[in-house]
Amino acid sequence: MTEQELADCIRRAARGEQAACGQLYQRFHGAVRRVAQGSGVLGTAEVEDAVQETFVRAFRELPRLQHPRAFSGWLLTIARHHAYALSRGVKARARVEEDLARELDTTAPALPPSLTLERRVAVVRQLIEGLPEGPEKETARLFYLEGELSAREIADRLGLGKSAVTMRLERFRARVKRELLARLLAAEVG
Amino acid sequence: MGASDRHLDVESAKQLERREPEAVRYFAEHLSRPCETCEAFLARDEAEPDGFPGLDALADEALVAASGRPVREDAVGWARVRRKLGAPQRVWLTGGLGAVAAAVLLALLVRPGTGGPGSVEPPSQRIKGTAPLALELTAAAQMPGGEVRAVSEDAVLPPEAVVVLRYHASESADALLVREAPGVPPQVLGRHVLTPGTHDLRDGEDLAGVSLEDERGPVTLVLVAWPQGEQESPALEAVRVSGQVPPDAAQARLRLRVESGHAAP
Repeated sequence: MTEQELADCIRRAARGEQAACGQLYQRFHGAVRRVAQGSGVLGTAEVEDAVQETFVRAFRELPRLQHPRAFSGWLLTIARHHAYALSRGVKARARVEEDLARELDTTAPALPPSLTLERRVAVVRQLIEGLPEGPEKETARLFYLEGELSAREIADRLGLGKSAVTMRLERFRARVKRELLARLLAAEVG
Repeated sequence: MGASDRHLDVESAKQLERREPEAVRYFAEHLSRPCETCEAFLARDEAEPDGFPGLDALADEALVAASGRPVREDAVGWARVRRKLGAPQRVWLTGGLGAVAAAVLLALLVRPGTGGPGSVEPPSQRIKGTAPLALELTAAAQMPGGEVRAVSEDAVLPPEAVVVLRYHASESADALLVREAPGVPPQVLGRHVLTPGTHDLRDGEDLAGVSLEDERGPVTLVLVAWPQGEQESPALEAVRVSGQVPPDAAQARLRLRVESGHAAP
């Protein structure tokens, strides 16, 4: 699906066309599921709940989306919040709802060339490659490069606690955020 | 703390939000190298600087794309999402098709099917010189554990199951899949084009799974079909205007019962 075809699909889905929503679901459910699977706290059924709640919310709020290019990040933001909410108590869930309402970015600010998806994926791969050999690198490699096992399954395979795997994935994710933020700031400095 | 060993914290995040040139310059350089302190701050749930909304999304997009693993079709998940969105005939069917759906529902209410599960209700009329449209409906259910089993007549299924339908049609046909349950109006679940032979019922390229989530008690899935071709437009128009199912429509019905705790059809 080209970028233009995806944009058309998002517009049709925003009008409530079922087939277009189905296409978006089939294209993005894997990415949404990976975000939810990054929490070792969530079991298989809870991950599926997070996936479904994410798409239900996204399809209901899709008419608010101001630019189709924002869809992917917007959807994953919803997914991350729902996964977080499912892993916390009732109070935290209420706070997540408030945060989500405030944080959802429906626009698509222009990105510098250093932050195209292709370049960002390269950043992820380079950061994994650059980790010293050991359980941290193995955890990031299994989750982000092989992309099949959940955090829980990785914990089982490596003989680690679920929280240890979740913590390692969060630490690696923060490393990626640090690198991307540096690029964003560097683009502003010029 | 000297200017050269500053790290990300709430205060510096505010400076970045205000785009203070010195802070932007400093952190552009500082964050270009690994820094455990700054990464620990960025790992906090509330750490995303307001000045850079979407940083989490930028990271997540890249992280999930890094594997390049192709995504498998997920008919079950899509069926559940569609179900949770609720009242699909109102949400999804708009304009003329919505009118068609409503009209067919009316016709189904006043002319309930009499056949058993998977049976075909004979057409009340037929274009002269043509053979009746033959229609059969069979089903399988994906159970909570993931296994897929054939669904027998009057099967008892758990609400976690998702039903996938398979039809046999003797010719190309337009069809509507309708859900009937006691005490609630029939609900059009989707419009389909049937092709001759035996096939899975699909929405475009996706399997048309029916989620039983939130169902309790008896529920009947009805496939209403009428031949494609020259009669297609007049038939649709007749449904829209007169509220009548096309006279040569065939119906195949599948009766189910949904009960919690049942793990087998």
